[in-house]
Amino acid sequence: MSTSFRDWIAGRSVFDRDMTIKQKEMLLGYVLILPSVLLVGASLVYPVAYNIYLSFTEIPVDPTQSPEWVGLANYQALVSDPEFWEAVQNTLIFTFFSDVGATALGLGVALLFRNKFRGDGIMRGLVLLPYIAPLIAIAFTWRWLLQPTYGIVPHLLQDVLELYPSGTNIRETLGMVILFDTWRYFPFAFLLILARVRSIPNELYEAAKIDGAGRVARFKDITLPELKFVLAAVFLLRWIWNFNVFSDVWLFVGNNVPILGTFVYVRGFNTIPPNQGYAAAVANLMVIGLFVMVIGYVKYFLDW
Amino acid sequence: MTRVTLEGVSKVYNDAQGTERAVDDLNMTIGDGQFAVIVGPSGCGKTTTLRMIAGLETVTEGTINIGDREVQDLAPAERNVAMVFQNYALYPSMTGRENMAYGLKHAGGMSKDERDEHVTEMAELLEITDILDDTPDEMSGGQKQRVALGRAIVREPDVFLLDEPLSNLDAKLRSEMRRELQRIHRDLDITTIYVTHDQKEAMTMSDRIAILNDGRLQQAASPEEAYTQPANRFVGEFLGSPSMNTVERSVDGETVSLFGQELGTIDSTGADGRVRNVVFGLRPEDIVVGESRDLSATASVTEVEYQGDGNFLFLSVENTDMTVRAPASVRPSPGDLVTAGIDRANVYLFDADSGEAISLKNQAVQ
Repeated sequence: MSTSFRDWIAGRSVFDRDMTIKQKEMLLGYVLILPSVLLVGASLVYPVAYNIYLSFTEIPVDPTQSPEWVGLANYQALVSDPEFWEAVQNTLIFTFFSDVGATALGLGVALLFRNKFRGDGIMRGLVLLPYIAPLIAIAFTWRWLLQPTYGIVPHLLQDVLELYPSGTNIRETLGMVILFDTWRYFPFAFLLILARVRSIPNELYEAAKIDGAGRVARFKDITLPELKFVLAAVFLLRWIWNFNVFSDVWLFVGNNVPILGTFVYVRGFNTIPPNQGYAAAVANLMVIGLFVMVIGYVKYFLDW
Repeated sequence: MTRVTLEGVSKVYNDAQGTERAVDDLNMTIGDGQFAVIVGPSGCGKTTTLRMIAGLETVTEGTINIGDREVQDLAPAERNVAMVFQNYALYPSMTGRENMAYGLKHAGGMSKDERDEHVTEMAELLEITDILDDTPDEMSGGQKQRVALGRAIVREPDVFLLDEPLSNLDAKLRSEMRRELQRIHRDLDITTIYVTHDQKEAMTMSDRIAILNDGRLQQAASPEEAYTQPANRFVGEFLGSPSMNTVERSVDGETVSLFGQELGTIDSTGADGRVRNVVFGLRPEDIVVGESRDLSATASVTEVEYQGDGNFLFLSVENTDMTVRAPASVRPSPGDLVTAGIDRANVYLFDADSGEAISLKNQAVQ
């Protein structure tokens, strides 16, 4: 009996030839997804599993020595580490406010672009600039603007508006990072929201105008419900990215304002002696925390 | 008393592509409680006209009066008009009830219970009580249509505007909704302006029909008048299905003849003193096959279309194509030679250049 590749794929001659067509189809399905499963397994499951293992060990500096099993010691240390809790708090504040900021600003700008106008293609390109520009360049521009001794923003806020006492390093405030991230990521929200904004039928607004609804009512009763899902999706994506953020905050404020991402890095690689098992434990808690938040969000807010 | 008057209304669009006169010097009066239909081919300006009355488009020139009020500079909400859109434009996030109450809510002056009462009453009239709590995506096309109608009329507007409201429905539902609209109009007696491209819809529903082409009003009359006395060639050809047969001939002297037979006499010179060409219009249902009439000719049958209640015959008379609506009993075969006849009174005459209808000075005597 000849065993062609086709026969083999379809499970003929390899498995029981008395299988029903449905069973054969199922088998074929598994065979077809096997490569993807292996690839995902190797690239995703292995690092995560290895990280979980590392979080229960103490890793010696000398790479020739193997990690030493310490059980839950890293997690116990973590719970009573005030710096960890500070990082958690900072992360939540940063995640929430820069998410709300970027989404709201993106929505506002997208609404300005609802109707096409002369040159709106170029304007749209300009709006995307903060998102496209290399992070390293804009982070340094912002740092320069916010320089405590000669930056223009500290001068305005401290000496002109007297919002806070001079001498405070504005670069060290979480508020500035939130502002920076709002500015940097609103174009992303803008892009997704704009596509939806432009697909809202104009007739709905016209019907509402005839019905006597004002601008605010039209926004509340037509625009917002139509954008509900895209806003929720943008908020979710920004939440995930902000929660895991590292480079933006690191380039901007370094270790002056610890968030979970930078905290992991500092503990794992930037302290003497480095404590990589501890860092792995923090990273695991981040995954679990984020997972719980996302599941809860999707379940209660998104209704997908 | 809500009469709608348009005086010298024009709409000019200016954009990168240039200037376009979408509506040109439109004069029209729609009487109180009338059901008026604006009809014309796509791009004739009928929807633009309706949107100007609604306040969704600005008026470039001219005035629009609703009742005693000049409205062309008022916001849509201040005009007390209601509009039904082609795609219904129901608010997707609201139930049928909320959709219908939305205008009442913004008009103010009504408690929630009063609004509910109005909506329920209108829902009963439209037979949609059981779907009031559904959202638009749970409704069928016909139900959406009814809710959209309900939303418009529940506010008791001075003028009720409809923009091709039936074009998204299937044929059966369309004829049902046509009768429904007429019933509602009889019950409520609201001045109604209805836009359609479908001449059949226009003929069956209207008290008054306004035919537009290229932004200009061709004729405004009762449907009967527009059909039997078309003001020009365009109206003659636009109304009726299959449309009017036309034959262009030059006039020899003052006598007009068709297929060698005299029809009568006209003023053979136009304003500029030249001999004019005329267009004969013959409606398919006026042509009789197999009998001689005032005017008759021999025709060869090129095609026969069975229609159930009758046949459409496609004839060739002296190299001119003619469509005839014949009774089911008349069913020749392609290639047959038949006699086709028409009475003088049924022949329409138009000026070939201007398209205007021409009346005969004298009928030819038999």
